[in-house]
Amino acid sequence: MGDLKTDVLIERCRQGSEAAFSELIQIYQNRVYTICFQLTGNSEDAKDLAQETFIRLYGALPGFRGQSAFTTWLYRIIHNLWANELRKRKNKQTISLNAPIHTEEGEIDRTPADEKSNPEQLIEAGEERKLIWTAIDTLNQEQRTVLVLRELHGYSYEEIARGLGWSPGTVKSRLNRARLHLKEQLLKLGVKPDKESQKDADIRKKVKQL
Amino acid sequence: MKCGYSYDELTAYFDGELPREEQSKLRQHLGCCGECASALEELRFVRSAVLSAWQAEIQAPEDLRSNVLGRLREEGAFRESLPVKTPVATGKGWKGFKGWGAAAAASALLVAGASWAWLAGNVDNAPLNTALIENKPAITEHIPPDKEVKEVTEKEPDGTAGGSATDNQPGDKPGIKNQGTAVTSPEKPGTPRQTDNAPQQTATGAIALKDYTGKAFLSVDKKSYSGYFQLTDNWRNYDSLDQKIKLTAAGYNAALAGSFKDSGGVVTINVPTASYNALYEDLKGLLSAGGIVKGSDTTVESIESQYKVVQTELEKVREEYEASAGDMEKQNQLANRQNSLIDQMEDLEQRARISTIAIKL
Repeated sequence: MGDLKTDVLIERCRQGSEAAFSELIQIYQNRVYTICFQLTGNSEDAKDLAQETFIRLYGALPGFRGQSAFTTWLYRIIHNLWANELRKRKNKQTISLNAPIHTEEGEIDRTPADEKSNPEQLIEAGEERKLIWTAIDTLNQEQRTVLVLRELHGYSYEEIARGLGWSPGTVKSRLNRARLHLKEQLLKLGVKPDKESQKDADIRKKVKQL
Repeated sequence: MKCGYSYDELTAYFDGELPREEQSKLRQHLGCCGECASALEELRFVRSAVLSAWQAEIQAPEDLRSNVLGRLREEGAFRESLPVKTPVATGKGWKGFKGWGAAAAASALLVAGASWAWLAGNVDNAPLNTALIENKPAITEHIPPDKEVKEVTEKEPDGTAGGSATDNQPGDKPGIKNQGTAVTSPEKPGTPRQTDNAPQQTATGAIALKDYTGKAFLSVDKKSYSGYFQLTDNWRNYDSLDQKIKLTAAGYNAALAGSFKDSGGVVTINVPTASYNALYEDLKGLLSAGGIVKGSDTTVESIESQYKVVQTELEKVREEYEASAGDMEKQNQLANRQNSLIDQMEDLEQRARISTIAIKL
């Protein structure tokens, strides 16, 4: 499966070519990093996860036999690593309420929504996305992960359950909690349903093409 | 909902997870139930928000690629490396490995070779000749002392194959043949090399090995095989280091049969790196069972001493924990400490088992 260029590069990587692997990283690094960022929610973790993904990828390439698309396979490595990391962090995680939130556009203060002087005023071009980020960042990491995989990447409950090693029931309950929580946060921040927004399916298609 | 539909059903509908019939039943219901319709609106709202938050691809950090390549190069993962002009920056370890990463860097004991080392007589596609490329960063390889590779081993008289894991000293490159200029190799100058005294073991066709944690990790005889498995085609088992699966030559374990068939009859096993060389010798026994054996040593890190330090510390903490019965606060602290030590041990164990052996039966 996969495109010819990738296939050729994979074959050369298997033979131990650094140049080929370098090129493979070049092709996929933005895609991988984007997904890592979506899952982790901060640039530091995203970078760690992306790096580990490529390192793991290199070691696993000899086992890749093209039964699924290369990207599907690559994403599974990301999910697998991230699920392991989540498991490790469980019960250990502490979030500072004042720690700034990292987004690809810089840092956002984690100011509680109630303290924003007038959220409506902030909703101008570009500002709404920041508010959505702020809301998403109030989710815990499991909720965030499941929400990203379902809403953004369109995976089924079953696929998510397999990918993260959770039970389908856990996927469902975390997803629902994430949705309810996010809805409340969004409304609190003054983000309202946008009637003119693109159809979700179109957006997701765009996201999937990334 | 007053109508009798649950929020769960509604979300399942929204996610397209209901059976087709129920899906269309609920769709009709939405036309006449305001409560459900508005709940569905909210779900759409959340989805739209999440989707609109990320519409663009994010640029990967500039040093991501060089970090990855640097780390792999340091581990000797490449057979054909790019020219190195400046010392390679070491990639920062994954957070979970923080302690370990620092220790590993400090001790500079990373030794590696990702080359496929064919332990069997079958040398089709064997990358032995690539090991001779000159002026390349450290290329390491397990060279079986077979006739076919005499030519290679003669050119590098200081390299050797085989050897026993118990001979390993920290800093050694046990049984690994180091060739070329060690541009990025973290190996210390003057590191003692093993001499060509690999024990000539008679292939008995039966193998039973234990790793340094005392767990048996591999046993092979002519009829059956059992050990830690890593099926490279089954990503879910990618990390299932502790999963013991029994496989018999007569009939593969039913659960594995599919994956095994798909993988072309090749099973990849995680091998505690410390035992790699012993295994190298022992696996020759498998040949008499008609198997083809090839191995890939991706990373060798001398972690045994690390492991012991953590283990000792854990024992101490456990004793302290016992002794402080009644003091809840102290016990909580100690419990946390225990957890973190156990995590450390698990990390170390994981690192120790990076080497893999692929067996084609």
